Amino acid sequence: MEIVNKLLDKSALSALIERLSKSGKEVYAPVKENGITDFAKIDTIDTIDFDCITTIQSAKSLVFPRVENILSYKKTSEDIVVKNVDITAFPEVVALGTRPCDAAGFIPLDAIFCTDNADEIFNARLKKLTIISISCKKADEYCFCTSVNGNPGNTAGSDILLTEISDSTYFAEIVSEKGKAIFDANTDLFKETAAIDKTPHLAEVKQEFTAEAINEKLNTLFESDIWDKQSMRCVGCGACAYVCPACGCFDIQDENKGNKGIRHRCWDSCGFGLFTLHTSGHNPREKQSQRWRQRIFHKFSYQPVQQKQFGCVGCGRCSRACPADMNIAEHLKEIAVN
Amino acid sequence: MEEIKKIAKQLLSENKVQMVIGFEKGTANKVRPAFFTKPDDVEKLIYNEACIHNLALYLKKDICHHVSNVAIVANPNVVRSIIQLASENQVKEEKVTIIGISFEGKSIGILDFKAAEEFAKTQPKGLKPEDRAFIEKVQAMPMEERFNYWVETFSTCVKCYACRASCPMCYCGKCNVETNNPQWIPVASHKYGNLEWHIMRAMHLAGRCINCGECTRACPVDIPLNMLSYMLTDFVMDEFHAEAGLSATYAPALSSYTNIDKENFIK
Repeated sequence: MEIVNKLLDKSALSALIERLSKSGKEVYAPVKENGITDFAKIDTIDTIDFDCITTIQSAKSLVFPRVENILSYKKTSEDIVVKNVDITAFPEVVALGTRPCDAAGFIPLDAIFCTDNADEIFNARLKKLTIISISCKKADEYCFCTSVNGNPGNTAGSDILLTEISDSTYFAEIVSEKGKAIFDANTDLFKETAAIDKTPHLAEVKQEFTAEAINEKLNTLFESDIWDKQSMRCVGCGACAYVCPACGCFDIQDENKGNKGIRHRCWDSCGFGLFTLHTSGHNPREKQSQRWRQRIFHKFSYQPVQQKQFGCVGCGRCSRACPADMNIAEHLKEIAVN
Repeated sequence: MEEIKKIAKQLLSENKVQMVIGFEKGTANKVRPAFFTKPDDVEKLIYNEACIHNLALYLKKDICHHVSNVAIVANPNVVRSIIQLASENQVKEEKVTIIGISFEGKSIGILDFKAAEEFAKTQPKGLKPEDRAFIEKVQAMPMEERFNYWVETFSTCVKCYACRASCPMCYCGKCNVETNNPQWIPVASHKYGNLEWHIMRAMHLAGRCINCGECTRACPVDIPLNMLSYMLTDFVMDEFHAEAGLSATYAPALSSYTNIDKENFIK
């Protein structure tokens, strides 16, 4: 649909949050607790941390939780009874205060979960998720959205995008049908406006390279020693993958107790050696440098081919979370000029 | 810093070592671990108050597998880790050159293992007054409250294993969580899966952890899991009069037996 422009006062946003919560929707927003800001359930605007550049973890857990039940099973003397998780019981969720990069992250994530066949559980959650993002006024040295086809006021992936144009007012762009549904139910809270140039109200994020250039370079870099060099300090944890809005790898685990059990889907990461360990004992990615190469290739070479999407939105979370200061933007820039 | 650079450069140019593990400038005000293989590279070496990563970790990673001699810029935490690794037969003195440095950043020069032991004994431990206060607060909780406190604290863990990957003492080729036949520890990061992982981790570090705090520094969601190790350090001291990281011939308290070990746990 064509984007519809409106104004939303901050007091009206406050009222909107209360209405959404009261209507039975679960509203998640960045909340600062014990010194760190992450998405948490809210029912009032007062608890939102509007100041943070990005939350530590992305909003992906709203559709792809770090652990979820897929099914339960029970063995009786005659039969095995399998019960799938009830996907109709998933709540209606609103993600509020996501950044444009967070919202854009749902696009490659969706592509992963819809390649070959559409993942029912993921899609059921995504269908019930409405994303109300807020454009970035500030960026830090880890942000690089403009180098991977994004920008601090990008509407892609959001259902509504709010841009703060004054201390009291947001410029609201109604981007999708889901966004329109929220607008239609709350028209009294929005005001009319002509299109507004958002640029003066957005953070500046310098473009350092293009995702397309990385894609092109990777064609000849599979055997390069750049992967050894870049990954020397990598400690081999999964922090980068787990905070990433676009990483969708998972493991399936059965937790058995006597004659019954639960099947879980849990996050997994290509940074772990166990990720590719074969039953035979052979590991096609036995070194950390091969796993680092996989991370970059998957996001910038394989995903664009398989899913027509880059697997990176430039939020910089992986770099912020890395215990060894692996800075992905710096490494990508190095690849671009290699 | 100039003194460290001088030593590092000399070690590389005389080919006494093939690699120096130290720090270089990182993103913005951060520093990052760096690996110097040529004397000229050493120009990039830095040392300042931000250089708190426990570099001893890298002695057990891929990068050191093919290097016969390595030097390492070692603050007291790194020194203690190396001594502990030596006591567990994980590093050999002839292969590791310790470039000692105090917590204040003062170069101590090259330390052999004997000198490193002496140096480690004189250095303050990582426990800050606020850590001590935190431990006392948790220890004072009734058992049920304390248990629930840890269950709650670990509930935000995403099982990225940054704590394990950043710990010099977690060098097992196959961690217990990766043993899946049978599956000892749940893979899922639900409440009890997280609790089991952290209890297992703490137990495996009891009497071995040198309290550098690297696990907590590495944790993306800021779980104070080093506090659990600190408490165990106290416990091991009280029960076994043993402390990790001070002697290269130390026998870890929980995997050795002496005839003065208490037997009061037998009920």
